[in-house]
Amino acid sequence: MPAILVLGETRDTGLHPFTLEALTLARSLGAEKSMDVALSVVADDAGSLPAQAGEYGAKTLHLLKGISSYSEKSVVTGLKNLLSSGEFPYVISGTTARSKEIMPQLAVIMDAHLITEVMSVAVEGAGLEVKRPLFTGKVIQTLAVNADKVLLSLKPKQIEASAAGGSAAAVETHDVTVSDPASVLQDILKEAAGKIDLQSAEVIVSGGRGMGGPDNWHLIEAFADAMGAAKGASRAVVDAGWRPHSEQVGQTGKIVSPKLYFAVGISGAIQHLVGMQNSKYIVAINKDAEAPIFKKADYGLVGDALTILPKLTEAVSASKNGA
Amino acid sequence: MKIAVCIKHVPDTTIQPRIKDDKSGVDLSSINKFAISPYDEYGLTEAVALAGKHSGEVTVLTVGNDKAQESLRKALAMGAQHAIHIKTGEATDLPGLTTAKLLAEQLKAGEFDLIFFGMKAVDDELAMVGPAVAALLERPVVDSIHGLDVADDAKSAVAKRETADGTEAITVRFPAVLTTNKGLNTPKPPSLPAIMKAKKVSITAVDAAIGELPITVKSVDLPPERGDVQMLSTDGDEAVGQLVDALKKDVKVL
Repeated sequence: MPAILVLGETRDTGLHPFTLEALTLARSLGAEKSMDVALSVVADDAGSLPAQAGEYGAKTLHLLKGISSYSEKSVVTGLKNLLSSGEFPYVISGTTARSKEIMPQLAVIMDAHLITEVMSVAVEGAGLEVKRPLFTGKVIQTLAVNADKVLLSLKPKQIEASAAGGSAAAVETHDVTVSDPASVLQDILKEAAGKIDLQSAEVIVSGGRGMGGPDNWHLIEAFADAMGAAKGASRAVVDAGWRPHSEQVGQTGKIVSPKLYFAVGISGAIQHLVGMQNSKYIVAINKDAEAPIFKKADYGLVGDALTILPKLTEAVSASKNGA
Repeated sequence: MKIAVCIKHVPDTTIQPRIKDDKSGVDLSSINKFAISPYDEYGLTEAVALAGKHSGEVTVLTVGNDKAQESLRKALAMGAQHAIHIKTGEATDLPGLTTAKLLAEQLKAGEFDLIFFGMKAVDDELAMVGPAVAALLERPVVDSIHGLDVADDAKSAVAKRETADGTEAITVRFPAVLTTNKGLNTPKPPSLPAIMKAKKVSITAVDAAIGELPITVKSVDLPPERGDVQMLSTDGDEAVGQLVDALKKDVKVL
């Protein structure tokens, strides 16, 4: 029986938020195509995964065991065996550092096309209609897909994850033994615990040159903490060495789609705008009333970020404490 | 050491693409400024540096129309020795697997120790051709590297790349495929003598055989317009109050 395979990942003890998005899409596609949903995850222990997978509509959880240290070769080998049954005409994933290495290789194994940065999927007759961005979202492309097999990797935060309340998924364990893989994870320099990553964040607070200097960043940090937000930065301050490239939002940094984006002391050059214009709500705080950022914002505040931020942080904390 | 670099000839990133009247695609004829896709330049710069250090040679490849030759010439001027042009004629928006197969076909015989790709092209942002080629050639791949430390014997390397959880160090044995991200190095524009010398290099041209594709472009559109901005009070305290109100009532995050 053909089924839809979701290539999933874990985060902490549960499923990655992007895996939940992929399961949600798989479930709706599965309903239209009369196909069940299966989930594959690299893990040695099922833990609470079967329950959560089932909640989001997966019937089967395929556990790839024995990969002690991440290796794309090991993961691909494990999935190759799973795919060889020919059971899965559709493979869906989120977009992560892992999926970017794995999904294209699965496309080669299946000899099927992979469509990346998928924003929406609709069933059109025997095929699919898929929307994805071009030129960093300056243009949206609608593709007609008429193939028996296709792989889709989802642009983060376009599909809203929702649970269906199903019973726990049945677990199938697969031992993956690849001795001495040609590429292997040697070391991880983990960021500070509790740090929210830009691409799954609901709220982002980004700072630009209007912050005056790196020494003022504690104001951004305090506000981000108060909002429970991830921290971003403009290219200008990254190039100036005030902030690390991992925080850069924009054409040559990260493309983000949070519910709420604060652009603080950021003028709004097109290269930055393309990185955040997908945000549901944009708040701009800038000294210059003519700054282009105000054209993209939903709420504009003309003022000095250095005076506004502390007041805003206090007001938000007070509000959260029930004031 | 033999190194290959796959590049793409793309519109300059500052342009606002215009949509054709029939919405069938982007009007590329209206664009007159093209360049090597920026992420590819990190791979090219790294390849040239490695070739210099290990007495090697760099071959640059591209899949594209006749105009793509411009980017091959620039890559030669930036230090590559050989160039292969896989010509696609008028075909555009090729799916990643199709491009990967065309490249793998040319790369197979080359016995390259390393093949570099940009981690994505800035026009279609497929972000998949490098890893697909790795699978076709049965080689390991490390995606989106911003650091690379090649061993003295040039048979392996430790690559650094970023994930949502932090920075990873991946050990990889050659022959391998690497896709490159910002931070790997600083590409430099070629010198005029290098540009002149590059004009004399003979580029190998092959015609791409692209059959019928199951994926076609139905239409392109501009993204939905955002609403107008609500400018808040010029009095800081008042504005902060208004904003918190909006965050509570409209945005509903508080």
